[in-house]
Amino acid sequence: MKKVLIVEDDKNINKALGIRLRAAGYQVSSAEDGYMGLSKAVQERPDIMVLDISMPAGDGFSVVERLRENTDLPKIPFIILTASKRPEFRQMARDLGATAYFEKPYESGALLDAIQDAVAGGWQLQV
Amino acid sequence: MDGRSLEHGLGWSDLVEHVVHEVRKPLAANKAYAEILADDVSGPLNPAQREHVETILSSNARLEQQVDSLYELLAVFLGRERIDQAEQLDLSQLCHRVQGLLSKAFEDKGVRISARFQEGLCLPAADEMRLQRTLWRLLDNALRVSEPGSHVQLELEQVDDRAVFTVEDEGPGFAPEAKSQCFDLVRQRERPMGGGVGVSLHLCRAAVEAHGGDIVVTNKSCGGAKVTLELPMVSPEACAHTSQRADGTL
Repeated sequence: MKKVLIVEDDKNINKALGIRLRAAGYQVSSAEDGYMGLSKAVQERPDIMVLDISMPAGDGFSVVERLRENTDLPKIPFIILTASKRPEFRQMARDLGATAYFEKPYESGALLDAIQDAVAGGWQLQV
Repeated sequence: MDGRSLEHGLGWSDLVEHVVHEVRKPLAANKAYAEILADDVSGPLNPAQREHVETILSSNARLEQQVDSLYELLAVFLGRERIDQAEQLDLSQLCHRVQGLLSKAFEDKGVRISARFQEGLCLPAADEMRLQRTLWRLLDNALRVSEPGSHVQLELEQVDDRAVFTVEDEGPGFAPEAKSQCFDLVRQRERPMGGGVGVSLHLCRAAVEAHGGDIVVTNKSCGGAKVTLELPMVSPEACAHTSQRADGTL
């Protein structure tokens, strides 16, 4: 069973995405800020992360950057999920190697497809 | 509203971006839970429940468009409008998608929508979401002035080297003085259109011009309005690798 880590400070979105992913057969872990997300990513080694950008205690980009500093960890693929419309965020996501980028409100089916595509080959392919 | 600072150093742009950001989060939650219900993730719905959920999704989509309009309007005011994420765009797919987004609203009001799309027409570099909102606004405007039982028509065809969209309704049409002023923000506010903030056509023109196109409004001889939108295009063969932003594409 593939593991997905959701790092999203909006409790309702976090919970809804968890319901969707569990129904689709994923093991789900969630965090509500970047600090907790970083900690869970290191401990649980998810197959993929879904990251919000603007959160208290660490944004989604800083989670990825901190993980990349730890060379003992393989690169975990990640998808950005944001309410922001700033084009520079999309470019930053691209530069950091995000596998997909969704603006809220997102299409649940499209997000599930992107997660499935990203984990299909395993995260070793992302290194 | 020109980007000058409000009190405490906040600018209009900061304020609007904050509002848009904060509204999109509950919109996302509403949509996510409604989709959980609509897709039977929590168990099957009966027909009445399904209709209610579809209404929630339809209303949510309308609110999302309005919030996006606010952001787009700010960009126009500040002269920051530009084509974001320019990619090849299949226009017939775009038409099908917008028709689908508004089908419930047309059904609820009892207005028939018919469509005729020439397949395979592409733009070489387009902002998909901006053009989607443009078409959505034209159809939404047509719906707002249409009486139950009337008919709205959306067409897409190639004329020479341009893709031509037309939206026709059977509403009251444009008053003679309004035809020359309907794209003007201030004037449009003064023209009753059955609700809304009255910025749609202004934003439509801005989006179309950003893509090198043109938009014209006329009244039909048999009654009703016709909006014609023209965009420069490329050959159908170049459409092979069109991508869609809504699928998470970077």
